[in-house]
Amino acid sequence: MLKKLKNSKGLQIALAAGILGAVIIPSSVSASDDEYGYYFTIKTLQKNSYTAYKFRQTDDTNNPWKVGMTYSNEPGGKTITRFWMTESNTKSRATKSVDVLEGYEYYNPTYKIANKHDVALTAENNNYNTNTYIAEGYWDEETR
Amino acid sequence: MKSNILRFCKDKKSISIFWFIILLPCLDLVLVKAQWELGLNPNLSFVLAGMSAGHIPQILLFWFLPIYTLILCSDSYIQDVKTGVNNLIISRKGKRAYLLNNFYSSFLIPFLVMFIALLINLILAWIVNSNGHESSGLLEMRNPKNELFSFSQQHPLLINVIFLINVSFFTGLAGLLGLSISMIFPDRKYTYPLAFFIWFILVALPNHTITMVMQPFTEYDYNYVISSWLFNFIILFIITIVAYIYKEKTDEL
Repeated sequence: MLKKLKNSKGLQIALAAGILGAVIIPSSVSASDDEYGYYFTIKTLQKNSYTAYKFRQTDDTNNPWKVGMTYSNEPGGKTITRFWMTESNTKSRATKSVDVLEGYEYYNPTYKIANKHDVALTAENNNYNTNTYIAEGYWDEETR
Repeated sequence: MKSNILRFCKDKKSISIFWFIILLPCLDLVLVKAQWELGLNPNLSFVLAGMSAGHIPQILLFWFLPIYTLILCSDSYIQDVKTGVNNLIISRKGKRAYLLNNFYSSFLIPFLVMFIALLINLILAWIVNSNGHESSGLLEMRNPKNELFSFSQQHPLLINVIFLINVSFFTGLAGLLGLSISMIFPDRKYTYPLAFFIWFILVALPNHTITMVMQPFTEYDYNYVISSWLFNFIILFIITIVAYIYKEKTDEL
């Protein structure tokens, strides 16, 4: 049975298509709506958490960026964490801050500096207490 | 009371701390203005809302509060003990009057200083960002399960004023904490670290942190805010009462 399957042409074609797809798709999907995961340990005193940089291809600040938070162990019901994107060269803000409620995702326009630049997701606690906690979710630097 | 206020006005250290407390919220407003180029909503621009990145002004102001209140006025008792003035006043006016007078002024002076500082900041926020419409999504966020949050969104100015008064109240309690510690250990070497240490424990409590009752527009609902309000109030109140009873029972002369 297994031998038959190994030799079958259908499987070979499917495999080839799969490998080809795996090679081609990543270079073209970054402009669409993706969900890159992040896992932050949020600390006090602006010891910010950063993801790896991603290139934002668009020229349009209205092409929204996205951030969602699926889990956070900060004490207190549905909690809030503050996110924004940082530009790689100047380390300056590429978007305004967005307060994200646990379990929700938000789409927002960016500043001009974000376009055609490498950007990373950045986070801090919205409270000025001493808590350190974990925030988990997904983001995308452009969604169209 | 009058003498304590006079002492506060004449002391250079007290006055410099007074300006420090007045200017720190203004620094926060400058940071907010720089960060939000299109103008942040005036209700969120208030220093207590904590919208500047890193929260440095808030941390400097609220994490070290009893140290400021001690320098403002409540370490006057240590000075009295050093110079022996406390015995003079006690023998003239009675112990209870002297103690109560110290407690009143240690609450009222920090309360008023913080109240003035925050009120100036609130008015400045409304002047500087009067046309501000930007928000981090806090005012538009739909979170119907959190009643305090929904109420804050409907009445943002009212909530800011309530928190303003509440923070001033807790600043007064921080003044009482400083005075209580200085009455039990009338030596600056012990008073300052101990007052800071106790306060910092209150700040660092994960579920009942004192900053929870200082910051409007957070994820914390009534149950969290009220329980941490009671918790912190009771601890500070007990310390004050213990210090008062201790001082009234022991003989100074």
